[in-house]
Amino acid sequence: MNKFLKSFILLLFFFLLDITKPFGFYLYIEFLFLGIIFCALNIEFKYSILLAFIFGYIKSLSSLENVIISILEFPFITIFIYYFKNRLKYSFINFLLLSFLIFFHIIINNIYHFQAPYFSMSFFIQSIVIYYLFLENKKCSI
Amino acid sequence: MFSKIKPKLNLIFLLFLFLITIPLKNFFRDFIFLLSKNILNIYQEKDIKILKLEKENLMLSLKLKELEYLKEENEKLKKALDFKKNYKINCIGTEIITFDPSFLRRIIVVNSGKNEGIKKGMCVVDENGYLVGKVIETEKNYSYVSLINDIDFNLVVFVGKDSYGLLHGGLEGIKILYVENNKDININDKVYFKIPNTDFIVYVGNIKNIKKNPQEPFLDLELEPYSKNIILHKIFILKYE
Repeated sequence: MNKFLKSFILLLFFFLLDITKPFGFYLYIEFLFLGIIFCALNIEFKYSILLAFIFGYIKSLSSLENVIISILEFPFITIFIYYFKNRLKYSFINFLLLSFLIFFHIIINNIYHFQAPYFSMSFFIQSIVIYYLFLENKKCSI
Repeated sequence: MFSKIKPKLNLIFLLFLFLITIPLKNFFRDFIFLLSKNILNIYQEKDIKILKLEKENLMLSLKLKELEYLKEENEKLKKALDFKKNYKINCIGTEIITFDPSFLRRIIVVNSGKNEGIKKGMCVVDENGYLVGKVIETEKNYSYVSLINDIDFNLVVFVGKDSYGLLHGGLEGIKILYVENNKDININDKVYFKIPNTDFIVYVGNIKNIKKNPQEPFLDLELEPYSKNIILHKIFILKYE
């Protein structure tokens, strides 16, 4: 199966996890957001940018977003990763990049929802843990 | 078809195709939710009797709470409220279609909309009659419900015997704002909401924590909601005029 289709199915599964929330509100993470990062790091840029647009759009369909913020945010993340991808020689820098992107996602959401600056530590920690537990593993690379 | 076109042009074509679909966002959203609603309806048909009984049970428990509340009120207040007794209230059982994917929001989409007579601001309760959230947006076939722990959830509630304040949701905890410092409020006092133009009482939770700062005019109250995990409950929308 080609990489694009594999990634599409993976992201679709992540999106379904996000909208059905099988773990209720106990798990503070956005699977789709982590999936976009994963795809941007592991597949070709042209596929990952297209997937970022498609899933940004799909995400905005299921939420009460008036401004289509996900369509702008996900491709930005993909472009950002594309720029830094070849410079990532050490796993620690990879970790910093992931932390920065999660931080960026929190800020974007805070601004969009007119929230007073609120840093969700649970979201930050849980996202990093889930990413390194399930997605960083080389066995599951696309 | 795509294999004959150069890969770069292929990508540009797909992006263009994608961009022209952006204005059709609402159409796609309506279509998806209508489809989900119809799928849910197929499964629901089997449970209609159970749902009907649960609905009756909910209405009875709400009436019971109303009677308990009325009992506590004095005769004078009852007489003053007499003119409000010609109210109409009903409820409709509903199912969750999706959750908002954002980690910050606590919004659900339910399969009842304008066609079922749902209006913005209506209360959503669980099978025990405890407040779960309120309708914030309605479309023909579906509605958006903001849960009480959503960051944008605001509702005027009564606290204890004679106080009221603004219930404000949030990820760090549900708070009740603007309750004056001199009010007599204790831990475990009940917090409830009164449906407009009726005597129906919907309980929200009880006071978990009170912080009193003499320099500030208002108390800092934290609420423990009765209805906690929405996934485990059946939900109903209270319809009223």
